[in-house]
Amino acid sequence: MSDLLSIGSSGVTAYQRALATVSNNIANVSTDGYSRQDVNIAANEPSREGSGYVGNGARFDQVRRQYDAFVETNLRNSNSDLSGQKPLLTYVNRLIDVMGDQSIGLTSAMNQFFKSAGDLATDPASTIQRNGFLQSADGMASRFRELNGQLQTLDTETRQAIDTDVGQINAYTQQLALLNKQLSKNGSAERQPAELLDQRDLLLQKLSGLAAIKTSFSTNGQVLVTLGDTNSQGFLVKDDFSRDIINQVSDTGELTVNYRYPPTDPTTGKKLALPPITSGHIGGILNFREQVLTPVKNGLDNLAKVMADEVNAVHQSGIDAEGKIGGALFGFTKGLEGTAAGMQVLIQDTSRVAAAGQFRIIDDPLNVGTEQARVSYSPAQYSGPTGLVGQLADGHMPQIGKETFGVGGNQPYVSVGLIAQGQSDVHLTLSPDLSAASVGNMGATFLVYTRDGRQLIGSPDNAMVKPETGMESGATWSNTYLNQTATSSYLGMDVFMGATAEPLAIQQYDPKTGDAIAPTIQAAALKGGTFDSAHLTNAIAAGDFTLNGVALGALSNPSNIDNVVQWLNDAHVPGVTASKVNGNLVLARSGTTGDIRLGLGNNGRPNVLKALGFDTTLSIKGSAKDDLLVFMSSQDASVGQQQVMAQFGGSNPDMKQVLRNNAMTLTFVDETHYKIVDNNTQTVLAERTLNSVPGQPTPDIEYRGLKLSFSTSPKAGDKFTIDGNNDGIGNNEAMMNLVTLENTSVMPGNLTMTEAYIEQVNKVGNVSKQATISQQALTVVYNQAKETRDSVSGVSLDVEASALVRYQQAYQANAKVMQTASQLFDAILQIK
Amino acid sequence: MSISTSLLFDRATERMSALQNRLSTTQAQLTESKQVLNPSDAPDQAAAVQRLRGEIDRQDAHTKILDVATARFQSEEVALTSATDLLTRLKELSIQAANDTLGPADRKSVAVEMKSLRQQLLDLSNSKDDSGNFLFSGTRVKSQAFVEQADGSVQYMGDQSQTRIPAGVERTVAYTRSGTDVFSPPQRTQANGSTASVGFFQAIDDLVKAVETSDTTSIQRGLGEVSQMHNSLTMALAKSGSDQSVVQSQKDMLSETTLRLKSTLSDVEDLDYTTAVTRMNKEMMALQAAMSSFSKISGMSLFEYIRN
Repeated sequence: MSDLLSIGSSGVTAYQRALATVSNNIANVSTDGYSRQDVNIAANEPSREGSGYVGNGARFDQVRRQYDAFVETNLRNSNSDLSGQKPLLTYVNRLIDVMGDQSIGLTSAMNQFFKSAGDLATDPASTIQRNGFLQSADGMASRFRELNGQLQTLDTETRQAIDTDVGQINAYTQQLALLNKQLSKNGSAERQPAELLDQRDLLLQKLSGLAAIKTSFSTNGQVLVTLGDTNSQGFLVKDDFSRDIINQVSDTGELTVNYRYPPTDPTTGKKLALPPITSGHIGGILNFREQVLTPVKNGLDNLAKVMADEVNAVHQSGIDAEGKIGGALFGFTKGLEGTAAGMQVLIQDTSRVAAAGQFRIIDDPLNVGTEQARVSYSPAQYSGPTGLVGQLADGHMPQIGKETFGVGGNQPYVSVGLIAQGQSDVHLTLSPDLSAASVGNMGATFLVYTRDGRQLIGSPDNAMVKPETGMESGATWSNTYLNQTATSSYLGMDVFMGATAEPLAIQQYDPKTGDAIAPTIQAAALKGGTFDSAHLTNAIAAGDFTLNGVALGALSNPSNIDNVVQWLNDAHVPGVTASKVNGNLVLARSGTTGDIRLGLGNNGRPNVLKALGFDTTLSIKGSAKDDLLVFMSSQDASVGQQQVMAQFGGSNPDMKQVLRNNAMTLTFVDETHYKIVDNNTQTVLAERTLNSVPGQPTPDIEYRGLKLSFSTSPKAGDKFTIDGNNDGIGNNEAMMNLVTLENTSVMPGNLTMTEAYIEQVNKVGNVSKQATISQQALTVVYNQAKETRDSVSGVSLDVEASALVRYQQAYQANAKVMQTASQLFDAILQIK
Repeated sequence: MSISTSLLFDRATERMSALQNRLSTTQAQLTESKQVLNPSDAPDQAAAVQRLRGEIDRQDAHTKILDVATARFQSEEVALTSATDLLTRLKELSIQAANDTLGPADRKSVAVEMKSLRQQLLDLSNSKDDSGNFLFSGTRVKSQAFVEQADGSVQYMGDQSQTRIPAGVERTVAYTRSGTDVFSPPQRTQANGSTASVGFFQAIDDLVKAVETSDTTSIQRGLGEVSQMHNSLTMALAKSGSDQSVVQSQKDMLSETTLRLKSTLSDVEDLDYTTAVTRMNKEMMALQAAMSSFSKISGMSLFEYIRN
């Protein structure tokens, strides 16, 4: 019934509860995550009185939690973003402080190293300077290691920070699961105790600071928490179930955050992986590791490797104080090759520091010109063959290599290969095919040249003297050493083409004891094969053939074997007799020493020699002293197939040592022509033209890998001696090369090594700058979101104070109503 | 929009502590007189600072090398000047000896002085620099340049190669000299008309013998040769002088470059005191204002005015 008392008391109760709510707000003014609670006072159901309705007072309906889901989500997201910047900025600044520091950073150590190289170049003989150089090298190696150590520390710290954060996330998700369980007891969010919902939101906010999360609320306030962009990927919290995550480190040190027990996708059956965490505290640390730490570490390792390789290359091209070739200066400890952590100096002895160059070039004191010459060496690259062609290269004793070449017609020249310096006892045998069709053909012959166009063997022919076949650029043809022997030959080498026979030593054994005794020597005998008179139709000119160095005279009718025997004996070569045995030619020596050499002169042809009964062999006795290019040429009208067999003793190329051990003189015949002469044998090694362009620097001269550079153009008559530096301890070529290394662009991006390091520092600096700007912007966004949330859910004491006054007055008013009701009742009671 | 009480307090505290941070940074800058205390303070400048410091170090290194070179050239100059003086005296004595009015006995006494001059020249040719390296041996710096053999003749035991030292980026300066460039063998016309070179000390020994034996033709020949040797020594002295001036001009260029680099570095790194002090005053004033306004505003609460 709507009477005064009940209406009044309904009001009193209602406002009593309202006051309690306000005092709750005031008490919780500083509580974290507390949402202001507002009272909702509703009117009671009216009751029917007569033809109308009369109100029944008010009741305290519910406590409304002041909460805006959108604002909360916004706050969580901006919290994630801002929390992601903080660790990035902190760690990046720490990194830059380390890298840019004078005593830990690499720049000062590298500068010191090159500076000490320069000091050593000034006084290469000084032990003090050498010691200083080694110390600077050691200083630089240890700086690489220290810097790497600092990077390691950052790596470990960030990993531990992620571990801690992951543990925190697990704690929060577990608590959220419990909360969800509590919340499941009620059907609608409105009915849930506000404190539970506040706790839920507080946990979510803390969670968002660690990683960006996506939430979805059910009608009773339970939350579904996922990482990543969509709700369908793996969740972290669902109903009362939470999934733990852990930090996994792969073998290569890579970090991934994944479920502890990866769930299986019901549709595909595959294990679900945790979506990548891109913001929040963990996201920030992961970004730092991926975008900054790992590239810096890789860059440092790369720099260490390049530094070691380049310095070693220079050092190994030098000579140390003991005259030995320099060894590697930097090395890596086992297991840490190519990384900054393993870098160390391998040389301890000051006399093993290679300051001097391996070659030196000496100006003749009588030179008219004022040019300064420098010499350096790097293995030369040539076109053309790198060894004997095809299967000929298999002919390492005792094997024989065989190859067939088509030569003649439109292909008058073919390359047989390169006999490299150091290859010994090479024999190339050509066995021409004398079929009936080839009567009158000249057939093929060998041509042998040095890389500078000096022809040694064959008929005079300069067609092959060009860089495409393997010649030095600028090589000119010369026949000074063509078919020469003994002291007139090229560098004193024994190169011969023709048929040879040597004395044979036959091992003898004692018949009684079986021991080996002195072998018997059989005299040399050159036994010919079939004498093919059909192919001996042309007359032989004088000098076409030689016998043991003696040029044989002309022979007008060689098809008669007796004429040939007579012709050979007419040369009167001491000890050698020609005869006819069974219709074939035989040349024999009288004594057991000495060989027989039936050679081809300038115009001798192997076809003719074959018709006489002998194969043609190109042989080089001993080790080749220079690279030789071998060709086969044929002037025949059609292509003929020629079979070549090859055999050689050994292969031991060391062009650099040969150049070092054999001094040579470079003479400028006039200002554009020069020649290089071997000092020992006075062999002219090269005659070339200097193509200098006025106004341009004098071009370098290259010879077998030696590079000679001149500061100004040389004058006629200037001479330079080039030899291997063996005792010039004051020579500083190698150190000078090390000094120039500081300014050589050896790192990718055309940077020098110091520049590459500074570039790294620059990159880190840029990240820091960007992160600072991002942080400032995100702080503004975050502050805005916080203020918005606070204006919705925050407690303002002044507002609560006015509410307190309001409800207090209302309470007092309602109490007064009750008092009035009681007075009215008293009035009724007093009616007697 | 209403502000909750906790937000009000939080914001005020945040801002005040930010101001205090800035103030303490300025104070640190004033103490260190540097604008960039750590590389992380100006990360975009960190690379530039490194580069500049490296360049300055490099110029210093080059300057030091040039100082070493100057010292060496000066030792050379001293040796060469004395040698030139000795040769001048030798020339005078030879002219004296060539004079027909001198008798054999007088010539013998002239020869005695010549011998002592020759000995002094030999000692000079084997001078060393500050580090104990022989000046005139080419690159065989630890072996004597001119060595007297058992038979009295003098052999050049050095070599002919010349070294260069780094004096700047892509710049080198000639450093060592070979002995035969300085004490260069004079040319002597042989009996068959061709000219061949005769060792420096060999020529002097021949001259001394000629004076002792009063061989006037040989004395005349010796006089010509001494003139050649004197010329070549003077030339070497001139070369040494010109090398020194090259080194000096290079040093001057280096010091100018260093100055320029240092001032660029200072622009980036060093503190401008005027701006810093002004900034400090501004920040102090801001902090004072924040603090006093906070104390006034935080004291205002509605509860104080609800008197009941």
